[in-house]
Amino acid sequence: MDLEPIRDYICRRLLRPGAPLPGDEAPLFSNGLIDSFGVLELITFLEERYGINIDTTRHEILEFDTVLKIARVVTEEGGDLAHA
Amino acid sequence: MRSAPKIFSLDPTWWELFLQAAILLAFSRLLLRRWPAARDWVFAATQLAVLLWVRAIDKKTLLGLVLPLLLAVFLLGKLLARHTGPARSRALLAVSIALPLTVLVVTKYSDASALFRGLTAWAVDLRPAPVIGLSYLAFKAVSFLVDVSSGKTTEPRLSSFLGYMLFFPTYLSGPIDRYGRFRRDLEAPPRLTWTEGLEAGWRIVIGYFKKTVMASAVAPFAISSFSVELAQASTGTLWLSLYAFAFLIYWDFSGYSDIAVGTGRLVGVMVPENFRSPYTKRNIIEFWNAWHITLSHWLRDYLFMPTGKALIKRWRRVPPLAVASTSYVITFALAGLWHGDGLNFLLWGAYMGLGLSACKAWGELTRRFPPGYHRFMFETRAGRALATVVTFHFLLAGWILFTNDLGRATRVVAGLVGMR
Repeated sequence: MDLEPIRDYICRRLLRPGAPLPGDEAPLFSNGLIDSFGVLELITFLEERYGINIDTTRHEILEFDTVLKIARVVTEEGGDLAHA
Repeated sequence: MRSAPKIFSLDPTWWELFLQAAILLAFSRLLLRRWPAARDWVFAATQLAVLLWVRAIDKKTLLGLVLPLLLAVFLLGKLLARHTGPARSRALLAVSIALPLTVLVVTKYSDASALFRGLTAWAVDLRPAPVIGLSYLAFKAVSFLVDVSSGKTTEPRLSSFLGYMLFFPTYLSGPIDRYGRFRRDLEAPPRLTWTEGLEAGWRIVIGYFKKTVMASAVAPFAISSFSVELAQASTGTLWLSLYAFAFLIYWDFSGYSDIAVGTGRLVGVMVPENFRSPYTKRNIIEFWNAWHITLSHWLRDYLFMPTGKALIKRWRRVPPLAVASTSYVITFALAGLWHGDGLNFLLWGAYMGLGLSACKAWGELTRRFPPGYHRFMFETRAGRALATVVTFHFLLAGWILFTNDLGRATRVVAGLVGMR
């Protein structure tokens, strides 16, 4: 499972330059690192990167709270994390 | 100065009746543990009985409006449940959502009611007064319909649906629960130990104290239209009365929510939290995750996310910040209108939307600030205190719009800065 594109997006888009990358299980939304619009941007990124459609009414926002949880949503929606 | 206002009010004696009803309900649920179907119908019937008992709703409104509306929403939910997920009918969902929202608009906004007189006269005269609790019923109905349609909630049952919609501790002013979560509590009620029972009781006491002692203590000084005579107030008095209103609305509303959470716990329903020290938050985004949380989350999940996602897809060349700002302003302007039909509520919502946009823009800008800035703002008491004070005063300015019509709000602002 290649999580690098997701980690890279978070680093590039959400963290301040030079800040350390949070662990794959570190909360992003519930600790204020990412806000609800940030989650929407993340969803758009995931849809384009993995060719999937994420219906926001079917998912709780906390399903995008960590890198591992994000990866789970991508897999559930049919995205291929190994060959993105 | 006139008597203290009751913002999220029930007559205090009603809460005593609520508490008695909660205890009776808790015992009936214990006795009916082995018969889930009977238990859920008893639960739903108890909600109706209590609402009639405390006159939160009258028979005419119940039979002429609320029950028909609930039955229609339930049947639409059953229809939506047949085609969930990607195969769902968006047209049916749109029509379904339009039903409770139309009823809300017709009953809540007097001018809009006038437009519909000819249509509504056959059923029940909706014009004289808004139906108490209907704003919350409409929000719960929308979340029910969307959750059923998306497949997040499984096949609904009428008994648990009625129990959810009419649940008496939250009927008037929330917190706004979700059907799926509520139903899990009905089907597998969390055990209530003596310790938890005492904690729930203590929560009710705290809520009652906040409403009847703390809110009442500051109410005579609050800058709401019924307490301070504006023409006679000095600048200092106006500032004091603005602070008083901020704490009046917080203690009154959070006290109400405490009572609802405690009462819910007694009858085996884990009512979601509605407040988490909102005035201590460091920015407006944090504030809206701590103030009237269940409304904020409802707005986020059912309005902001779909609107924002649609805009991101359509406005691909527009900077994300502009898309975010538009989504915030649309969401909060509508939230303002939900609070009341005056222009001041619309402007209050737009003001909050712009505040959230500014907060987002500031966050983007400061990402590139030197590490010293972030250390000061996030790791020192002085930095955190500064952010909290600025946020609190931004909210204070919002309360001026929230509690006064535009003409009066303008005079209040002029008075606050000594320009009268």
